[in-house]
Amino acid sequence: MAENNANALQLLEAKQLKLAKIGIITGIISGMLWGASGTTLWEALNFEPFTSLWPEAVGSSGAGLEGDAATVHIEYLQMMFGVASGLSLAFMHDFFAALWVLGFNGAKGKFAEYARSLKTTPGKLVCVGAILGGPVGMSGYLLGVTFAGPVYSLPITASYPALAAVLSFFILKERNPLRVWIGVLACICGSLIIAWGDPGVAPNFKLGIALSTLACIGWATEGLFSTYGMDMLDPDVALGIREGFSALVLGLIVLPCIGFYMASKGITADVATSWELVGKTFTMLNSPAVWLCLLGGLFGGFSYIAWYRTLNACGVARGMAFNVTYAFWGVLFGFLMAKIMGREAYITANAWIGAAIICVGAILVSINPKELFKLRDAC
Amino acid sequence: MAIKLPLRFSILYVLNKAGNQSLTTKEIYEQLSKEYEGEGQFSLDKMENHLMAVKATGIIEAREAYFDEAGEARYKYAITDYGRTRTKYLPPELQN
Repeated sequence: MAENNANALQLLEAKQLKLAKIGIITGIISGMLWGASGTTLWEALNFEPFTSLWPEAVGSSGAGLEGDAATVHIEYLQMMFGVASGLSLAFMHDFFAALWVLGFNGAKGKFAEYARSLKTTPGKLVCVGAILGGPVGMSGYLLGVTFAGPVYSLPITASYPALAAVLSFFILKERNPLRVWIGVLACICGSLIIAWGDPGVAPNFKLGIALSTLACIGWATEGLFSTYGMDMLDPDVALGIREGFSALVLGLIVLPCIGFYMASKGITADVATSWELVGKTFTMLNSPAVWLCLLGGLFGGFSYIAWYRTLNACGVARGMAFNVTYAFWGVLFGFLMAKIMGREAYITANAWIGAAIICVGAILVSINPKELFKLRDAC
Repeated sequence: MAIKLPLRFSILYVLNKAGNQSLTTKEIYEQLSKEYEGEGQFSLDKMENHLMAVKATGIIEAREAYFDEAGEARYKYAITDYGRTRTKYLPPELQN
């Protein structure tokens, strides 16, 4: 009997090791999909309605302005258009991701779990996390993509494990080994290297880099809330709740607030609000923009699903370590997308070097490199 | 169980009720079948996947291994001390 049980144990451990190895692949896939999501969403900005609505004149809000004053006003209008565009992308990403994940969960017979989960405290914690990860994190991320481009903003956002480590030290009083602090330092250095290498082609590079750090803050703090709740919920359902709630808050609160702000500045005649951009994107079906947003939501939603599979198979540390390779995938896919669309595909050396350093730093924060492929402790 | 909980909450409830005893996948499945029968996420095979995923969170642990009637290697599961701390999220009437 004991020998029988020992044989069963051996078989089960072999099965789990096999699953853990598959988990490495899904971890890398989750990184690739997130890199692809950011690149795809950025590409939507190169099509209608975003292209024809780009402010190029002072408009009625700047009537009478000339020379430098006119230039400054146009730049202000363009910045606000960038904000409206980035937020509209954040909403559309979370909206479409929520729908894709809902369809996935429905096909798996988990639809009823949504309402049941929302009635629980962990479910409500996921909603709190969704506000941090969505309106704060996703907005910062997509505003960063809008102003600096995915190649430069994605690696910055990949530093969020480093910020999470810092927060856990101060708030949760967690002690981190030296390797984690070296990783934090590497992420900071990599971010600075990228930030110092303005390629000269982005709408507002420095602003984009700064907004990308907002994504770090949102995602790092999201982790503090939702991780605490998610061990009791089905992660696919928790993800669906997170994306849906984030889309709700973005659509009903954040986007209207930006619209009200623009109205208060008297510029809505000259700059489309986020909701106007969303409306036009959804109705201009002959433009690639809506399809790119749909695709971006698909990539983003399934990046998360792949990530949770990896967490279950290989552990949180490895899952995070493989996922943050999106910093590098974002650079590569941004380069490839430019080539495919016939645009100049020059990526600065700073971007490649900075992305590589951030990847290494984020991995060091997440796990001891010696343990990365030692999968036996995942069993 | 009058209140229909998320499936993983119910798994925690069943294993908490079992105390220090470890249960097979089939035993857990049978205890929950009255509540969740007919749902797409609920089957004996899918229960194994749910349990492996919950095990990864540390709320439950695999205590023993055995061969079932079909000759498949399976784990027996039990709640962990960490899992017991999470029972505070169960409805009060289901916590003990």
